Amino acid sequence: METVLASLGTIFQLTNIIGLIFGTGVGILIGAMPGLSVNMGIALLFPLTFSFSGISGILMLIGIYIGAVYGGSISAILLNTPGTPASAATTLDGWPLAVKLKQPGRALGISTTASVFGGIFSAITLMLISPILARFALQFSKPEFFALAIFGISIISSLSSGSMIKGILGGLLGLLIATIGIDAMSGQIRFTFNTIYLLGGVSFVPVLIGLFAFSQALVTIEDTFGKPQDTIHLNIERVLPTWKDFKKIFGTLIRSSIIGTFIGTVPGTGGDISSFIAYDQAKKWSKYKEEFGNGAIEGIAAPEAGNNSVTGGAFIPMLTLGIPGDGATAILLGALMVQGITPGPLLFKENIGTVYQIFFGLMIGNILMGLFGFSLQKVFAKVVNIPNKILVPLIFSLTFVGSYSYNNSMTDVFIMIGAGIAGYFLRKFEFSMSAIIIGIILGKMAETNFRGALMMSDGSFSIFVLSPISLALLIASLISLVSPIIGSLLSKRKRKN
Amino acid sequence: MKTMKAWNFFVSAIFILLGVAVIALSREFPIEMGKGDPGSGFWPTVLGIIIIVLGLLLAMISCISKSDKLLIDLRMSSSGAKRVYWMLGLTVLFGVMMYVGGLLAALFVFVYLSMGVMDVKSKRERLLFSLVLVASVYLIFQVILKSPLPPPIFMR
Repeated sequence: METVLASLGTIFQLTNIIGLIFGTGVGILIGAMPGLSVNMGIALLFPLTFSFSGISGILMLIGIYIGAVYGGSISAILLNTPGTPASAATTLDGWPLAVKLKQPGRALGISTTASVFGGIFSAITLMLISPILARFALQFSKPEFFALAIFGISIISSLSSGSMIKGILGGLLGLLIATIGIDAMSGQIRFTFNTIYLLGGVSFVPVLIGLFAFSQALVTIEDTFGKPQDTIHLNIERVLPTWKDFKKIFGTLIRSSIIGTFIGTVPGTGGDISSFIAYDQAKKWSKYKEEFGNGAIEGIAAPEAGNNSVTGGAFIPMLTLGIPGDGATAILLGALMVQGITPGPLLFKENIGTVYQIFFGLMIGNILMGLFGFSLQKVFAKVVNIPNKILVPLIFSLTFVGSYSYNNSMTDVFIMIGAGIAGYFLRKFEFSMSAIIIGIILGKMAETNFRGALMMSDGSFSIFVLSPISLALLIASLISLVSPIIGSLLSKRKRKN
Repeated sequence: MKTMKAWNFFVSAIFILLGVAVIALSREFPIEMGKGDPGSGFWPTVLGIIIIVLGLLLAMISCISKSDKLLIDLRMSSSGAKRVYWMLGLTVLFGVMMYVGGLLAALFVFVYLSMGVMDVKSKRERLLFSLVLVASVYLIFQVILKSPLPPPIFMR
């Protein structure tokens, strides 16, 4: 109890609460601007965390994460263009209510209420479930950790929207990058080409900024050049929802939050999937089915509670097992590791204070998000109109300054530019940037535990199948890899029939 | 190369070459099977083999598949793509300028020129935005966060 109270007290220290407020506010702005993604926002502002001491940098990133997921709903409602993929389902009823029925304030108020509700619900679930899961994971040894890493890597097949092979190739590229530098087991130097810079491995932060921010900015130039940009000029009145509206959506909020939290815990899924499932379920259970698609408030509440509850859910595998659930949590995992915090079961044993600070950070971040959402909606609505011709040079500048300030190294800037250019072409060829980052993050874990397990068994590979947990995880990995192929074959057959 | 299908062959060739290179480079490191630790060369060799297999698989699937996705127009010479190449050129210029003239000067020139690439016609608008941005970067990073920015070559 003492640790819990001390952690809560830490959150309210000036620098920590400033980090959280700043992160949440910036996150909402990033999410609200179409073309900027959650991953890009976290990657872009990641270097700033090194300027904050202690947990405040991590709290800032948490704020950006939850804020950006919510912010996507603002442009979805006002422009009919989702700021993030997780808000695509919100356009179905959000835009008709805001524009056709001329009630933008009501639509934004419902989306804010639902997002806050979903976020807090999932944060509470995270607090209740993760210690139990971490206690179970304490039994893990090298074979189980290897199988866990493979399971984490296997989710890349579901992260690649285009070709599954390209998704896996991207992941393998990440795993290869992770082998560069001094081998942790034997101390041998691998693939450094006699450069001192590469001795410690490829610097994670510049690669992250290059892949997620620099390359995305290039894609934005290509996609939007010469096309007119949508703008809005709506009068936003009362944003706080009425008691009648709240009563109407309450059941939907509970149901969608459960769906979102559960989906968030499954690696490889994310806010986009949960929001559509939550929307579909809301429609099935609603007494007013005919309103859906024409501005139903339940149709806004369901996807928003669904996608924001993914945030807490995705933290469960990340904090307890050290495997990321999606691209955003992969970056957050990397951020924690760079800051010297290694997520996994041992974190709960050795650094429980940090765990509680993350829990409370999520909770309070969601409350702040609600305060921002209810009070500054007019400002956010204006941000949606910022032209790309201003935004793009700004993003490029931040990538340059951010990658330099991480280590005060010009080489890092050049590495970032190289990663960004490679990322641009890889994006064009439908490779997933998240898959590469997951490969880099889990590469060391996979290799050291693989070799460590073989040392335990005197070189016998049977060690990986003799442990029931390891076997179960390897089977789950296989299912995770194969299921998209089976799914696409089944849908093809269905279409033929 | 105009379609995704054509580019897929190029991509698979690159990955096969990468796999071969990794295997060749890994030969410098020991691989000892059946004696506990398989050695530091084992893991990268396995990765190299899987990359080659998947590269071949990608080429094969691209060859036999009739999916519409493979016919996506992927020409690298659209007007948007040309702007990207301009921006890449500016980035190279930025790298050189940063090395010689420091980050702030390089950033000013980069932002001014990149706004031109983004079709901002007004020179006044470009100048004003570049100045405000560079001043903000200096204030936030150098003054508030005390994070040093690369100085010009003569001040190093």
